[in-house]
Amino acid sequence: MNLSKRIALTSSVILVFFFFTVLVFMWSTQVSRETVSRLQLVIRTQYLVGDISQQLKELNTRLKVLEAVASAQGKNELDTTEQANLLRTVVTIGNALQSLRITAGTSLTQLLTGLEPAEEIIEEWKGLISHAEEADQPVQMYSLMAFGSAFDDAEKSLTRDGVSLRVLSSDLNVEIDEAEKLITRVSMMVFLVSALIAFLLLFSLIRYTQKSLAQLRWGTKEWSSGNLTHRIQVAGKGDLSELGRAFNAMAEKLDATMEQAYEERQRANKANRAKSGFLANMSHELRTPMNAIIGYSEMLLEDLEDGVELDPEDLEADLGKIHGAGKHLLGLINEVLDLSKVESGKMGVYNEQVDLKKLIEDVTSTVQPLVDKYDNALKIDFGMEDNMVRTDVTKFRQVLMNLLSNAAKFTRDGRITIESKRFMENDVDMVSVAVSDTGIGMTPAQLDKVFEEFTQADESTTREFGGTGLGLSICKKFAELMQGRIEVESTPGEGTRFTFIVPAIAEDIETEDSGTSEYDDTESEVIEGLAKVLVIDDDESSLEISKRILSRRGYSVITASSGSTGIKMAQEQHPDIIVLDVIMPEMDGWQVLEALKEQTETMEIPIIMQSMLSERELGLAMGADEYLTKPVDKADLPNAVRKLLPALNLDKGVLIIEEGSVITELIEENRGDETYEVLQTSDLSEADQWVSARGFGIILIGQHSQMDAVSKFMEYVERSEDYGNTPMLLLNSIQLESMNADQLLSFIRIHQGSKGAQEPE
Amino acid sequence: MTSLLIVEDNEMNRDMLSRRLKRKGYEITVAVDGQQGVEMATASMPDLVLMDMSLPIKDGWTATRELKANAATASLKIIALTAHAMDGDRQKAMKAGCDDYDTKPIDLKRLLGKIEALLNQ
Repeated sequence: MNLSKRIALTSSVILVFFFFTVLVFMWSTQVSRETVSRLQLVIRTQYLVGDISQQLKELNTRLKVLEAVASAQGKNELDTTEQANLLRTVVTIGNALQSLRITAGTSLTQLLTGLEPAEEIIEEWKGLISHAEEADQPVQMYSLMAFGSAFDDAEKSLTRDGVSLRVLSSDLNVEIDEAEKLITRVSMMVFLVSALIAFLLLFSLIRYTQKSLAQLRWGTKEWSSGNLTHRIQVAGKGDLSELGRAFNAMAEKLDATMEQAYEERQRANKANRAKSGFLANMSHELRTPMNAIIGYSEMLLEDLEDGVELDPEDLEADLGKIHGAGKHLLGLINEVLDLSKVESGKMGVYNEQVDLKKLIEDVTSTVQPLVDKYDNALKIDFGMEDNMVRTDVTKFRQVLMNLLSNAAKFTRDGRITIESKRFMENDVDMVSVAVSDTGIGMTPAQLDKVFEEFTQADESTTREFGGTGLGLSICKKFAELMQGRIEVESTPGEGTRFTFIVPAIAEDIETEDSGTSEYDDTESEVIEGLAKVLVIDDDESSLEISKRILSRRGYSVITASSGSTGIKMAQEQHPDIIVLDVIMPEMDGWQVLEALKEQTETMEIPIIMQSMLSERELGLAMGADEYLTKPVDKADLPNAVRKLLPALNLDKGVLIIEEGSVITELIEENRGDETYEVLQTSDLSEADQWVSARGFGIILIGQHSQMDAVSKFMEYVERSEDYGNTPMLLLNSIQLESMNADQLLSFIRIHQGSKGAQEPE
Repeated sequence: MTSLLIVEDNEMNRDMLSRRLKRKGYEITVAVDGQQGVEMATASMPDLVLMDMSLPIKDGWTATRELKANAATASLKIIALTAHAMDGDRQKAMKAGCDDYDTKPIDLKRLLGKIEALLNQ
């Protein structure tokens, strides 16, 4: 059960008990009120009964006195005064009896045994006396006294009634006392029970909360002390259980992250150790040739100082050693640079079409002297039908050169074979070049380390065979960069076979430094018909900036992030202008410029060069039309572009034919200081007249409801001898909606040179 | 004449060093690997051994340890002469039993100073 449910339950139980207590209180109040009112009734009745029985007693006494007087006087009749008094008394008692009956009500009346007999007697007497009065005769004493015994009985009964009413009232008093006691007891009970239950519920609530919190606290304590594998025990589905589970999940995540961090640290340490090892090796490898260079040169210097006559042959030998060690050092440094480039991801891959057969023959002829040096025979087995491959030629050549020179170095009087093949592997067209020799070969242990840095098969290998111990590491890294691999098999004493395998048609892949994606996805934003600017820059952010500045100024911008892509885009997309960065990897701006100026289809395109280096003179001399030094001011680039585009020839005025004023407003808004005349009309005959009367620099045609008539007008202008050369631009509504003023002007500028009517593509 | 044994596998360095030391008036013998170095040192007991560390067959550290462990050759003075010049390389050489340590490329003056210092002890 969750926490809020527990709290709700506890509160509602307490409320129910409180309600129950209130009910008991109301009930007890009702009961005591009823009993008290009954007691009051009994007391009132008792009082009336007492009163009546007193009156009856007095009447009885009086009657007896009257009788005694009468018998003493010897007459048997009442005198009239007495009679009247008697009647009054009887009437009074009758009234009292009536009110007693009313007061007592049915329930008490049943208890009163003397009431009915008394009423009967009084009624009799009343009848007797009033009858005698009506007859004007005196009431006979004996007739009155005839009721004497019944009268006595009634009086006695009433007296008894009074007593029984008193008993009843005292009974009621006891009842009230008892009811009160009971009520007190019940209330107490209810209160105690509800208090107890409420306490129990609260206690369990607190205990549950405390227990859960204690577990959470314990868990967090464990975690903070580093024990991330600890888990909080969670049972049930309550809020606190959920909290516990969330804590556990957090701990799990934390644990995983810590684990990952630990692994990463291990990896970093390992990489660091590898780096240190590499540095130590580097230091060693650099110092060894350095030792020879410094040693021999010092020796020669000493000879010179001492004036020793040097035998030219000895001198040549010593200088040769210095030279050799120096070249070895240079080779080493180059290879280290290559390796570091690959490792930092800065080594780009530049694929191009190449004839593999020619490439292999080329490399072979370079290595031939080395092959001949140790009397080896070289054989090429070219087993491919289609020689054309697409790959990074430079790297391919370097790998092949390395494998071949290794084979040549480690083989004496042997045979070196080059075999090439083209085959399908996992549906990919691959080429392989295998270089096998009959040289010294390698043991399995040596094979394991063959691609590691600075590990030649044996420490003594370098001395005997030369090499830096980096060549094969570089080959392997190059192969991987080129989406391929190098395989090796070898038998000690029999020979070694290295196989270099790469895709026959390499696909350009994005690397850190060379954006080789052919076309950036800018064409969706391009409005057809605007001046098209191609920006070639390897730096993504400066590409982005140039693109933004130029787009805003109304040019459609396409971008290329490498020189080779740029050249290709220039050929295929025919930009109106090219903005070219100078410093780029692989193919720099100068090479791109040269390539563009060599090809007929691109040689006419104006080129703006941008560079950090201020080599304006050189740039212009090389054929660039403009040279901007970076950082380029925001206005410089669009201004330069604008200057190189055909000038906006509006001196003779602009004629705008349109219904509405979209173009007119765009032009007016943007004319700035320029003072050319703008005439606008939608009436074609008026336009006709204007053209015949004065001619215009350019005619712009916007929206018009009668396009047939517009076409006729355009034909008429085209045929006109005088104005046939006036450029006319027809702008459709889509263009007008999407163009801003800059774009419109750029559009006019790029198309005004074309003769006659020009419809945007 | 003071006799020195140069244990060095690199032909150029061996040639260069032996020629230069000969000019300084030392009698030079050479060994091309660690094994040969131990054998020649034991046989000819030179005044001092210049020991390269990265040697084929038996490396310089092992060769030095063997020479120092053998009572007959324990008194031989050995200078480690190596292109291993990183932190800890000197310590490693001294721990193997070398009496001194010098790095390549060789500073001849410095090396001569070390040789003379050891010989004059």
